[in-house]
Amino acid sequence: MVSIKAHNLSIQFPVYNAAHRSFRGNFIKVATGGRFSSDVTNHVYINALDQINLNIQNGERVALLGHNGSGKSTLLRAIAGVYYPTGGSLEVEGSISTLIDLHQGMDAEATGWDNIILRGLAMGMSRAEINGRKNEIAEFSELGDFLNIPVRTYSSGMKLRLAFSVSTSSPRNIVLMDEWLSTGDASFSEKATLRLIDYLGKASILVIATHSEKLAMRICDRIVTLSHGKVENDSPVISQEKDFII
Amino acid sequence: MTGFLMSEKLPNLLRWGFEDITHSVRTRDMWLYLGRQDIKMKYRRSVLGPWWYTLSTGILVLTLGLLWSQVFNQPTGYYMSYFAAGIVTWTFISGFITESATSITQFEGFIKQQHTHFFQFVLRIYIRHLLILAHNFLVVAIVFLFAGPGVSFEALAAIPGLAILSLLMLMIGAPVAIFCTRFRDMPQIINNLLQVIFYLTPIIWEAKQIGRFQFVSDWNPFHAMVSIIRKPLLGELPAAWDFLMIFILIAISTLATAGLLGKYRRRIAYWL
Repeated sequence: MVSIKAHNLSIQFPVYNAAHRSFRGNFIKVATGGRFSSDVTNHVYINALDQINLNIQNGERVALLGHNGSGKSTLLRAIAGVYYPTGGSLEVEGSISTLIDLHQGMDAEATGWDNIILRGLAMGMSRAEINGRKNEIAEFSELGDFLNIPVRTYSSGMKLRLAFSVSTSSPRNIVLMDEWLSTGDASFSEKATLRLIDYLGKASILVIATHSEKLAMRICDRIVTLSHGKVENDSPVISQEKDFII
Repeated sequence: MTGFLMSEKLPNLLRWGFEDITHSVRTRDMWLYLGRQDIKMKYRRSVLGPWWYTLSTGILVLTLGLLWSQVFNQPTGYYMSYFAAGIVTWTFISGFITESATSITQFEGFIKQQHTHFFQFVLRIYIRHLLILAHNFLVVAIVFLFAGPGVSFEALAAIPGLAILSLLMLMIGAPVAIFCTRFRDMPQIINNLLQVIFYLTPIIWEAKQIGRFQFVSDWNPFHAMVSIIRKPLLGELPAAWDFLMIFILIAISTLATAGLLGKYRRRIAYWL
């Protein structure tokens, strides 16, 4: 059963500066018997998530709302398995797709084809699986002969197309998104939206962080509002006129 | 169905560390491809490509080999073989350790995207340097055929030697990577240490030349690491002492790797 269960989930970021990251600090602490320890290694922490309790079940589409710094992206990354809880626990069942930052992980010097392999591997696909899908990916991206030349020659829209085409090529149980995607020119954007809807349709759970309450109302059936790393409000969406075209 | 459970409670450290290692090893499609890709990328628009490694090592061995054989008053053919085998093995070891230092920090973008196992980055760096070794080895082969002792039967012992050396290097690479991610002064410290160790290890000179100070090289683990490759190539089997030292180091460093990964893999993403 695909699910996400957070129990008292807390995430606390240490804030390092040069003094904290160097050996000198720790060495001086030892050498001086800890007398100056408060000056040298006094860590500053940020409570990004503070005792979150959240239970997301199969079939739910959840929007995370909240101001900048309220913990939306951190929660997404925690669900993705990037940050381990510093308090509480998090249990995720199901395969995960992260459409968090599509610009990441491109190798500018490598060709489009190479980048298809790179991103596919990063998503956990095997070489055989990538080879099976790469023609479909190439066709959908509409990049044609551009795939044979280095990605550094691409426009930002073309890069996004390529990344999007690979990222949505293999269905997953849980999809994590940071804002709705906007991909390039009008004709591709429409095509991409249709593919994204189809992709989300195959997934069991969607969690999307967004600033737009309108978007949340339109595509989700549950809205979780975060504030200062805590769940401020958690309520179902009542109006049910679902419409994905943004 | 895949998934995970992460909680503040610490699981068994060593088991968790080994889980990272075995999972990383299993994703071999990834590190085999990426390690190769790294070399390909570095020389993408160059004509000679990775053969630059061969060429620059060749020039180094030829010029310095000739020079030092005169300085140390040694037969040129023998000294060039000794120096070529030593420097190529040393480049493999030190290049790998130097790059392990940044093996986690350089993939920050990747690590912040998804759940990651960290040992795979060390494996990726290892593949890079194994490929560089393969290119450099051509120099050793040429020197041995034209100037040195030729190929002996004992040279085959260099193959298991390479396997043992590789295991030790991987187990050193992981702790180095973790320390260097947490403490950003460490890469510089390691760089400097390696430079000093290079001169303290019998590569340019031979252990027997330092007379009563030979215990320094006897107890130098890098000497054993170089010897299990160099000795067989020169037609001599490595000493039991070399193997003993290396196996003890493998045991210690494997424990260190598993322990550190087990304890800190949950923290590494926070350090980036």
